[in-house]
Amino acid sequence: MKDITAKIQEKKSNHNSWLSQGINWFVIISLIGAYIYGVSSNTVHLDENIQLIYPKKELTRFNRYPIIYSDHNLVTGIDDYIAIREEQGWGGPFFIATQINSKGKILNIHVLEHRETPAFFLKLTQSEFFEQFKNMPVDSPFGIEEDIDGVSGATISSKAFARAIQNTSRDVASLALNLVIPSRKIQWSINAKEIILLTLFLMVFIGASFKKPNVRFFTMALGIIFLGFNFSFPLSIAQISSIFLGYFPLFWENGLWWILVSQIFLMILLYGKNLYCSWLCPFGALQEFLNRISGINLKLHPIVKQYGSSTGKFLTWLSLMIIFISRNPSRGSYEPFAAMFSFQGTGIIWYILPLILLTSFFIRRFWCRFFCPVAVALNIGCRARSKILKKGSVK
Amino acid sequence: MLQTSILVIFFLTGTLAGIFLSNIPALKRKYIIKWYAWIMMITGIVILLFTIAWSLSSVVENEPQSAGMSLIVFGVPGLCLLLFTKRILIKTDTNI
Repeated sequence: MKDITAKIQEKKSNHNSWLSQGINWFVIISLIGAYIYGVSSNTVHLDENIQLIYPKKELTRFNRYPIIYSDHNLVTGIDDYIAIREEQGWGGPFFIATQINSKGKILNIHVLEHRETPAFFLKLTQSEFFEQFKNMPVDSPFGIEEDIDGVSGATISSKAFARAIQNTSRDVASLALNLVIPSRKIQWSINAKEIILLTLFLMVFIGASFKKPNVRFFTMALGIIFLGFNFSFPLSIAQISSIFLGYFPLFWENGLWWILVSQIFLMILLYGKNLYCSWLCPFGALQEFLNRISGINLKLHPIVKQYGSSTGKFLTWLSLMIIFISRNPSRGSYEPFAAMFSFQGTGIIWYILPLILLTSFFIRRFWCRFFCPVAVALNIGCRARSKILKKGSVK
Repeated sequence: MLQTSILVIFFLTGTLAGIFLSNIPALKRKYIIKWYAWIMMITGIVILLFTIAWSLSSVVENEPQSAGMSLIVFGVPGLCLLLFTKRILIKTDTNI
């Protein structure tokens, strides 16, 4: 009797193993397929886009690269120029068109395509960020806090767009208007934000290395204050997917991104554990503190415990499929971090966020355990690291 | 629609307040509650009722951000206050 039960158990575990392997292969193949589809289908048709924006103009390609169109006015004999550039923004590359007249003044700015988080791009347009460039001469510095006002809470996007407008202006100035404008040196210095983030990671490394769990309380609290509310910079699936899409920001414009990504990678490499989620993530820390205040930890049904984490894996897969197909990280990102820490969000997020926070009072780390794509991605990284080391030690 | 919604919101908050008030004698019998714990508990209940009213009225006026923010800004602290009061300040009366 015992032999039969053991055989049934073995058959069941073999079946489950085959099933999970099958699902793993399906996930990998579908994500690769989505990536290839995204690369092949997302081509930018600049000539058509430009003609749609300027339907009354007869534009001719003045310069191949950098891309400059000219519009010759038959009556006055004067040309206007439209320069297009692709630059790296917060969420990925964007295309911008700057219209400049023959006197070297900016007439208009159009963003042809972008991958910024919708709530943040809306902030830029609502604060009339692009309007301030009109009538500026092409030899302006276009520096945030110099002659351009950035938008608070969208500083990196503001700097990226200002840089793009500067570059398009310089292209027209040098190639069409024959003006010589001295190039500006890149100014970068390590500032307080980078130092604070590095200090936070150092605390995590020290706490984990010397097995000081009390340090975790401080890193979580500081994570909420700095990584959450002050920097509004928790790790999200959009940032992880942008690595696969090749969207790397400029180091001197977004040093925090480079520090965050490199340190998390180092953590996984050195410790094989997801220390970011348990020691630093501001949203996870907030949930944990709320649960500690209540002191209530509801017992979950065994089925929920067994299959609950699969919900997060499924949502992560779906999110990555959308991101790879559209090549736009903000389209697949569903975490409520921006709503929580920057009070920027749209529609249903405003109902999901309070629901998650209120549930956290009664279920420990509710979002992290069942829905968070960052936890899924980092845990996969840790498992991959363990497998590689295991294979290496067997050889 | 708006008039009906306002009536429903007032009815709901009034009902919840009534449930709390009617359970005060039972709370007094079962638990030892100091005067400052009463103040904290009543403050927490008032904040939660205010939160419910604000968020429901925001939903009716089709302002999801206002509804969500009220739940976070008022609801979470109100719930924290109540749960903290329950955990730390309210003791079960062992003489029952």
